[in-house]
Amino acid sequence: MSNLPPGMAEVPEEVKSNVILSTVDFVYNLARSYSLWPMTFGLACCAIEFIVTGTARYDMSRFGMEVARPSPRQADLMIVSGTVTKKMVVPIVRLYNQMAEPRYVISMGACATGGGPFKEGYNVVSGIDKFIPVDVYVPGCPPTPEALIHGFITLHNKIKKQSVRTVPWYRKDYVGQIPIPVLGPDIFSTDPAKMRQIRDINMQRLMASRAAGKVSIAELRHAGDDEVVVIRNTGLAQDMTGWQLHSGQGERRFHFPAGFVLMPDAEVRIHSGPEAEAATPNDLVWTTQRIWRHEGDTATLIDAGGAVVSTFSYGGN
Amino acid sequence: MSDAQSATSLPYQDAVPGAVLAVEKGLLDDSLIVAPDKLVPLATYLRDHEGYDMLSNLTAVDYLKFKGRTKADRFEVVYHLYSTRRGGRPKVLKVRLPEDNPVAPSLISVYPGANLQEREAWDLYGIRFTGHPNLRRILLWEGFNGHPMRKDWLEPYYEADVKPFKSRHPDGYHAWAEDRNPWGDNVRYPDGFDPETWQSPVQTVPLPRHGGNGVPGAIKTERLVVNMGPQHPSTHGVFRMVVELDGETVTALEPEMGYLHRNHEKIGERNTYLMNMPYTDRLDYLSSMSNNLAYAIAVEKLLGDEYKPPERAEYLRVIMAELTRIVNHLFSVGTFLNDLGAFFTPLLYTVRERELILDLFEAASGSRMMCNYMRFGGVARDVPDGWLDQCRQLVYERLPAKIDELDRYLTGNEIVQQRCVGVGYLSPEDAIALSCTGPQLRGSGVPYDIRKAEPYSIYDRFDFSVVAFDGCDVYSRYLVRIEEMRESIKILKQALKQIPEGPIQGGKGGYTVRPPVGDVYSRIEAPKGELGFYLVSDGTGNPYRYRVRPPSFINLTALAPMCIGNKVADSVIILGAIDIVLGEVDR
Ligand code: SF4
Repeated sequence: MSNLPPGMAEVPEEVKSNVILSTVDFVYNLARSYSLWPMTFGLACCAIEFIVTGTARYDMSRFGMEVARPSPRQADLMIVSGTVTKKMVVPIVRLYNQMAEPRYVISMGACATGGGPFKEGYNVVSGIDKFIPVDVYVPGCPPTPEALIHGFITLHNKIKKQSVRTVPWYRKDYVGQIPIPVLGPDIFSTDPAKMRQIRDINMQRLMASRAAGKVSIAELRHAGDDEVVVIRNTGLAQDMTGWQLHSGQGERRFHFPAGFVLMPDAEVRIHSGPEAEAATPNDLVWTTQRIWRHEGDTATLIDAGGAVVSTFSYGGN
Repeated sequence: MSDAQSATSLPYQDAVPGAVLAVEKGLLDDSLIVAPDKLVPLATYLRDHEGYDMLSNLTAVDYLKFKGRTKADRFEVVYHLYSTRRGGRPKVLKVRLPEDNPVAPSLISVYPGANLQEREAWDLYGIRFTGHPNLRRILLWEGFNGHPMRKDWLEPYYEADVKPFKSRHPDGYHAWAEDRNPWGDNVRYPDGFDPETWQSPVQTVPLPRHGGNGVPGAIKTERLVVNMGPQHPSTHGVFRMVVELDGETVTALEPEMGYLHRNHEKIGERNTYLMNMPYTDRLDYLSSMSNNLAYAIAVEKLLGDEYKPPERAEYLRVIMAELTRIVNHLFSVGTFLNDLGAFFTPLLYTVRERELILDLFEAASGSRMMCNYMRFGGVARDVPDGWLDQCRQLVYERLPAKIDELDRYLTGNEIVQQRCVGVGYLSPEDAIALSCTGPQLRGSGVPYDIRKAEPYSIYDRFDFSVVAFDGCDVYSRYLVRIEEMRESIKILKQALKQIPEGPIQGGKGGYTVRPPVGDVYSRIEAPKGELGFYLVSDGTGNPYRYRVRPPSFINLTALAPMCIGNKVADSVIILGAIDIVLGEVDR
């Protein structure tokens, strides 16, 4: 008896030339790596080099890869060949989700890898790997067909190292679906964690811009029988108890009613003149006399502590 | 601009009183400043009485940071009108619009070709065109935050207004753009935006509704809306058509684009003039040399005579441009046959010849596709030894035989004829009105070729004819491409015979050019049609406005009219015969 491990039998001499013993992994990987079907899928300039890779001079069929399938359901390999834009990444993620496992992604060219020459563009995604996992990156702008073929060979080698026991898509807890991004004011991922993160940053920025904002006199209409001073709040809500509005050098003074709060982004209008009228809670009447001089005047807004918050001048002087 | 001009000395006062507010002196062409409300009558007059039958280019400029401009005339819509009969320089109309609520009248009623270009101006600049039947965003999506080409709209990775950025030059320090952006990615949201509550505005593409088939007693049928693309093998990239069908007949079609909108123009305004050269390669990436040529000529026009290229460079340019035309048409014919169903085999034949020309490009420029070969006032480098002989061998022996071979296999083929003859009809009048150019226009029997109509470079020296076929169908467009390759060979033979020795770079060369203040529209006959560049210079080393007039984008205006009434399978070859390249359509 030979010293084979338990459970293994020796191959009889006469069968040896007819039988090849191998591992499941080897056969499985060999079959898979030499019949990778790419998806017919071109995004930009790089796609032309991908097409050319399929033609006579470069002849992709040497690698068993000439069967380009237009349907993602039948394809094993997605070659992201070109600039990925925000508008296009939505269908790309959807296509990726539709591909059956095992599936592979080659990021072809500078654009697909990191945005390339167009990275700073407002509609360009900085690399497809921000959205879907990539197996092989092929550098170049565009990569020559030779470079792409090198990418194929690299992918083949990668596949050959995989094992059925460890590949993710046979695991029980494997999901494999990527949340499809949404085009809002700008693209955002629908992954809940990411959405929360985006919202938190946006809220922080809102608060910061609010804190930097302030109450100020935005406008003064002195003509007509209804004179109006518009005071606008671009910051946080402001209690205006004790605040005053002065005309000129402080000859006439308007006192804000106690408890009056100016909300963010809201405005309060102080009316004066014969037709002054309080139409809404944010319209306050100063007096039915005219306040503002036509030839020029200054309005000053003063807070409860007596500090000048904002001034507004118009006319000659 | 001369405000002092008395009203009587202004042009067109008799025809359309009050239309022209002023005449602005330009570097090449004077432009008429037109009152917005008189634009349509003036354009109608120019079209009907002065022969300006084609609206070639329509674009907008934001003069926010330009010297001498105020809020009252911040925006400007520029129109370039040409005459397809006379050729020559354009009539330039400009409409100035204020900062708040910029509204211009739509020119669709006069020039239907304004359709897509007005939508683009709305999308990127937020200029409304009253009377436009379908003023939707075209390159971006509904709901996008702002109008990105405005000068005060900053992209998420914004660093500085113009290059070279301080972070790179002269003492570069390294910082990822992602790290400078709070979201760590190429995005920006309005403050306080909450993704969870986002409701997308309606995105569905509106299709013009036609009444029922109207025949009393006919079978009641239902219209079916089919979406093709953006991932569809027939759309030559990421293009989308929404087709409404009655049975198999197309009753309405709406093109959707922008899936490859990579902000060429915004990036172009940040770049220096020379930095844009490699970007032009990536417009119509099948014919980068032509794009280089168009851009180089445009900047040279801005720079003046000093940058006139020397003889040898002019010849090299023409040789490259004509080789590019052959490359493009070979590829276009191959993919067109693909669309017809002859999957891949014809393409294998055409790509084989294309490869040989690409070898020449690679030897001359260092790259197969993205040549980046032309410079202002010349070309980047001379061709290597033996290059011209290799080129001669190709031009004299191989290519003519191979074009004949293609012709023999395809042109008379019964299936090709059955599928193509009479499909996608576009009358010559419509073709001009819809601003079509290139093989699409010449396939409608209009012999309009910018190499003859307004010769540039040294095209006036060569003997060649303008190919036109008057079938007005897909087949004629195919024939035009085959014949144009032969004409290109003719030009190449002459150029290869005449090419002199000598320098290849005129002007001062150097990296930075600073053209004088002014604007220029310059165009060439690219393989796909009229490729124009509209450049506005503010006297600095960066273009203030950098606009590309992409032929295949504007040729797409005719897609819906050509497809309606045909079968849905034909819409695929009609699109194929327009010969679009998405890099150029979406930019
Ligand atoms: S990497 Fe270069 S060639 Fe490829 S898509 Fe981007 S710009 Fe085009």
